[in-house]
Amino acid sequence: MRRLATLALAFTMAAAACGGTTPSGSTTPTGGAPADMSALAPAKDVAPAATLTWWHAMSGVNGDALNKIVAGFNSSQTKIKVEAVFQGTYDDLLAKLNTAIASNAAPALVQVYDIGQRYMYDSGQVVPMQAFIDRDKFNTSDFEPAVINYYKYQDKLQSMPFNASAPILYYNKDAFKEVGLDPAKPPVTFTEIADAAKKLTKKDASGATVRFGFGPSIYGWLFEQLMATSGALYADNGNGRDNRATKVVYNSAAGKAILDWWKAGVDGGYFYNPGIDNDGAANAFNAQKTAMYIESIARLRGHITTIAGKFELGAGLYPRPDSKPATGGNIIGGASLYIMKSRPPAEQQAAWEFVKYAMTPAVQAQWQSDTGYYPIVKAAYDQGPSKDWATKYPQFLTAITEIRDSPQNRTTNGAVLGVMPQARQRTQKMIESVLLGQATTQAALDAAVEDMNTQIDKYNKANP
Amino acid sequence: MRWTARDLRSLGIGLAYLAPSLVLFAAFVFIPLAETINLSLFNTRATGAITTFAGLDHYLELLTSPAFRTGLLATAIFAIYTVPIGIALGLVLAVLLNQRLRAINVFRTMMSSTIAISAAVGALIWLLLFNPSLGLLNYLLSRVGVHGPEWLIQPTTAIIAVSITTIWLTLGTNIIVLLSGLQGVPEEIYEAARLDGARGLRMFTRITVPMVSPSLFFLFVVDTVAVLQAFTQIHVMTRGGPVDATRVLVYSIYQDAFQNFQFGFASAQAVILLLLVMGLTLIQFRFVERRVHYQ
Repeated sequence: MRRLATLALAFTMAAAACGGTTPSGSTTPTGGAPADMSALAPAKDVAPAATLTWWHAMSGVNGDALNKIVAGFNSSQTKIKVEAVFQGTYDDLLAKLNTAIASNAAPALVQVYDIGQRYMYDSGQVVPMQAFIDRDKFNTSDFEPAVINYYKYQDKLQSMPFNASAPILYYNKDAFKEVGLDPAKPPVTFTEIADAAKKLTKKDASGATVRFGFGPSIYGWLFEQLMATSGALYADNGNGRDNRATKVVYNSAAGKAILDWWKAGVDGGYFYNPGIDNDGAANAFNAQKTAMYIESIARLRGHITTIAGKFELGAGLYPRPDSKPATGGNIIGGASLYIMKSRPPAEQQAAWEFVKYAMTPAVQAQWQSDTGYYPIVKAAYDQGPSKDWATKYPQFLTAITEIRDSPQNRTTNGAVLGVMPQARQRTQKMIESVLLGQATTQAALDAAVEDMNTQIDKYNKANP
Repeated sequence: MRWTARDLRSLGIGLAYLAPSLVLFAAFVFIPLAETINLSLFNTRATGAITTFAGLDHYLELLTSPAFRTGLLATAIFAIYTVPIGIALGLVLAVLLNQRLRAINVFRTMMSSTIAISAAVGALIWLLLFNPSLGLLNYLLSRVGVHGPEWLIQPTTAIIAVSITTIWLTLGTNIIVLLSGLQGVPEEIYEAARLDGARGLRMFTRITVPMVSPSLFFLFVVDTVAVLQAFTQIHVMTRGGPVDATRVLVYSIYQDAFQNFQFGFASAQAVILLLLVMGLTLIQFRFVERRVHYQ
């Protein structure tokens, strides 16, 4: 007995040492093979339910593409009929899911955004996707590693990644040519972007700015990504991945450098500040009021349609500090699919059947060409629709290149926090207060961190 | 006093008549209200399940929280910006529309049409109008040589922008209520005043305003309550920002309950909002109603 305890202790220490060493530590604990989770899934012989409800948050073009997958699944077999229900934005969906859980009315399958991960885990309402994967020995070796790592908690996949994105730099190649910048070489580092933005900024006779060089919206996700390309952690305990996070730590030198850069640009008049309005930032870029901005790859298709050849659209790598830290890279964005525990096993089984269908290379390739999200399964790139797509719009490959070039570590895995949506709002307020000159960069960072730490404390106490 | 059989019977009949509304009120007002008060005394999990008793902790936290004070201040500023101007503007327009002109109904319909526009649609329209680089508003300002502000980006102008939108949204209702009030004023009173030599502005302040004061008071109460509960336009236009300038109480309840999943804390704020609305309404009835002239 005592030997066993010693062994267990040694094991724990080894695992802690491996997991918590450096931000560049691997996501796979080296403490041996993970325990099999099959037991949590319904037995293999449970017949799938005839109907299945799936809540999602895809609207517009992406919603049509999603319905196409559902229609494809429904006609591919006769046993299960999936009914897709649009529930509004990601935030709305999560709020509704929360209510539904309380009244026991949650659907069997839900699409939840990246930052809802920890909340879903803490809710205790999810059958880990790993349970089905282990039970069926489902092969995930061909999955995009960065994507799969993002959705793993302590090496277990809680949900199945569905739509994966990354943020990129959008730039106007015509404007680049006009001011003598090389349109084939978009700026990457903070200084390069600031210098290019100064050149691209154009004023009229009255001194009013008619075009700003760079115009990022105040969007918490962009700040999270800038922290990641800086190779810096957002939260402690390995971004909340080795253990539940107890603090956010972005009031570091890296965080300050980001805000200083942003603030100098806005004060200098060569960065445009569209506020928290992401659509506003995209529209300003379309209308050539800004020559560069940063946003998700998921907007690329919309830009191509709206710009309609009025200027040549470029896609570049996401900004990073001048030192280009080797440990830095981008975090994947998007959403994943969760199978809910409260539904009968037959429905969970049906949900799993659908998830497997959604992960087939052909479906993934079609999804990519319909939306711009990159495939989860690498084999999808060999499929017709994906190949045609890449030839026609090479800009789309920027996101996946960026993700593949990112080293896999705690920084690029991204932060997992139960209060992530709130943390995002708080960083937005922090950036606003800096840009409006209400606080110095360090004071704003410290205030935000202090606020969030109180909230994290509250959350961790309330969700033991 | 002793209850006779007759008293009991009439009480029973009375309750039977009231039963439908009592049931509805209980289901949609009293039970949720009691539940909110109850929830405000507990900590909850993110799913809303009650965990531990918090007592008055949430209330104490609110009273000491600077964010809550900013929220109250934002709510007050928002109400002061919107209610008086909305009613005054409604009155002016209602007086103009209260003319016997050919096709006046067309104008009445046009002016009160905002009543048919949902807050979400209205807010979206204004969001586009306020856009600093592409919006119509700053374009028009620039044509007359004024450099328009970045409406939704500066805290001071953001609350003004949201207030303008709110005034516009409530204007239709205000016009209709005041117009019906104006039409209820007997013509003889105006005639008598005219014979006594009253004209123009004097007629307006001495006759029109007192005569429609019941409608004005009604709007004052109803608009104040509505503004304290305004949500949609803030959600669409500013999401409570920049730097909490438009994070009114209702919006902070929404964020804490449905984004941050702190149901206990959000419930405590809801209870405070309820007390605030009740208190304000009482004050209005107590002090303002004295000046109302009922016929």
